[in-house]
Amino acid sequence: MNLKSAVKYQIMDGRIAIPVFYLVMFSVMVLFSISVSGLGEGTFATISGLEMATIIFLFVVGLNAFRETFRMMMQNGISRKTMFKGYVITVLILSIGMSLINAVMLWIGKAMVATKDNVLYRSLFEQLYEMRYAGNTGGVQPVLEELMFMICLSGAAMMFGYFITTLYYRLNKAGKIAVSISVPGILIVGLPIFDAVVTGGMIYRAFWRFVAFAFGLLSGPNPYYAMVSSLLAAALFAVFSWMLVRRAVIKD
Amino acid sequence: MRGIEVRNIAKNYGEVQALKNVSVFFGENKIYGLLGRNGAGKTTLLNCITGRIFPDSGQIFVDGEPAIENDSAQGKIFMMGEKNFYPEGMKVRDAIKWTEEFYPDFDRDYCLKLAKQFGLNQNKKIKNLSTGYGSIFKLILTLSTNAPYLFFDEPVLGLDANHRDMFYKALLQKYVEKPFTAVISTHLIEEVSGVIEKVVIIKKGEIIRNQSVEELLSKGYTLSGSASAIDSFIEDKTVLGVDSLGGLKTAYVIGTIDPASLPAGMEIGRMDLQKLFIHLTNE
Repeated sequence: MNLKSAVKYQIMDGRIAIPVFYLVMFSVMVLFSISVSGLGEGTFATISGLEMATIIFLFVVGLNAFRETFRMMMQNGISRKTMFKGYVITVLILSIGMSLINAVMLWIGKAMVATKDNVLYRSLFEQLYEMRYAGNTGGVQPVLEELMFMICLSGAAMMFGYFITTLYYRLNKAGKIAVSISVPGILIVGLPIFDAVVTGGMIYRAFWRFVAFAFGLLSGPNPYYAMVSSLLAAALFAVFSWMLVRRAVIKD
Repeated sequence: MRGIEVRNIAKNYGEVQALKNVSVFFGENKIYGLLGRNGAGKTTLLNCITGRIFPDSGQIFVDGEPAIENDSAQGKIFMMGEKNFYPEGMKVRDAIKWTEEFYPDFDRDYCLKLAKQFGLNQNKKIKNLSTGYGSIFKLILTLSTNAPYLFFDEPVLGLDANHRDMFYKALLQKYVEKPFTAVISTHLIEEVSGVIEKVVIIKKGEIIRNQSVEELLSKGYTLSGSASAIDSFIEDKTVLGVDSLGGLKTAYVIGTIDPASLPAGMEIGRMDLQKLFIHLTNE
């Protein structure tokens, strides 16, 4: 009963943001199809990777999912354990739900430009893994794999956002300042300089090679690598988040 | 045994010992006054029981079940605190809806009746309520949950005299209709003294008194009479304080006295809880 209520509350938290997000996404799609309707021959237009917006949106949802919910749960006698379980279930529901909506939107988007030979509407998944389906793009397999890919990626994004927000909640003021300065400082300034000067770009190349491996681009390409990597990342962030949540206390 | 049992709780904030090995029992269907000076540890104790913070050591049980991180135990408690823990943009009516979701015994009709009685606007955002109406909003929710253990931390903060009176009446009426345990943490001792049955006094993180109001007040008495008679009579007694009005005086005295031994023109009365509290919690 408590878990059901905790899930319901956390899902209802996005009752305004999610419709607004899809309204914006749909408007972008409509604007795109209107703007390309008058394109002459010899001119090409491509719209792709709108799903990235969903991933970023869910990451932001994760970033905003802790503080207010935690206070509300504590006010209403819900334990941290139930709240956290509720969040994991919310992640599952939102990831599946929004990936399904994305699939429908992709289908609508493609239908809108179906009569135009010089307009291409592609998903992020198609961009990354189109080689895998060369000559076989119309079957059920690509649709299912794209859906699973989006669900896993969305889940990882939400858990990553949650991890960051719980980390900041637990840190004291000095810790927050230290993390806010040192992490971007190292990643954006320190590491690139070190890489360029000392290792001759080895770190940069190794990083992108790791990303390509994690997304299965070195093996086929194979989206199941990306699914497993995303699930592992989501699980890792979930474990770290739980370690932070389980001893979190109300702050004034 | 039914009730909330706190066993040897300690809580430190850096160098400050907010609770020192506190043990206390809040029994079933009783109204407690949790009294203490500012920073004595009242809110810290209530926050530990409700799991909002963790004690450094000790145990807490609700009806025999461990209370920390236990939904079943915490579901029996509802606490209204000084602070607002509701989301920024939440409206009063949404808070009512969600409290009903989390507390299955929530009485919506009673809640709406009280809201109307107190003039609480349900369409207002909680953050936009005045201090007084913020307290009223939390009081109404607390009384409507029908949870067996209700904690009121500074319940009448910002309330005018009429609303304070309405609250005490609503509390007692609810208690008479369906008894519950109420723990009222407040500074307004005189006001609450007519409502509470038992008193827990906390001083610098330690429980110094935990007894019935009657028992506590029997530790002393008041004497009223002419100023000169009172002055000479209390010379060798422990006096908590004296109120003077014209030629009349009232003295608050610790100890017991045989009414028959009183000089003529002098009257004996019940000890004042606030005076006794000040005496007990002074440095």
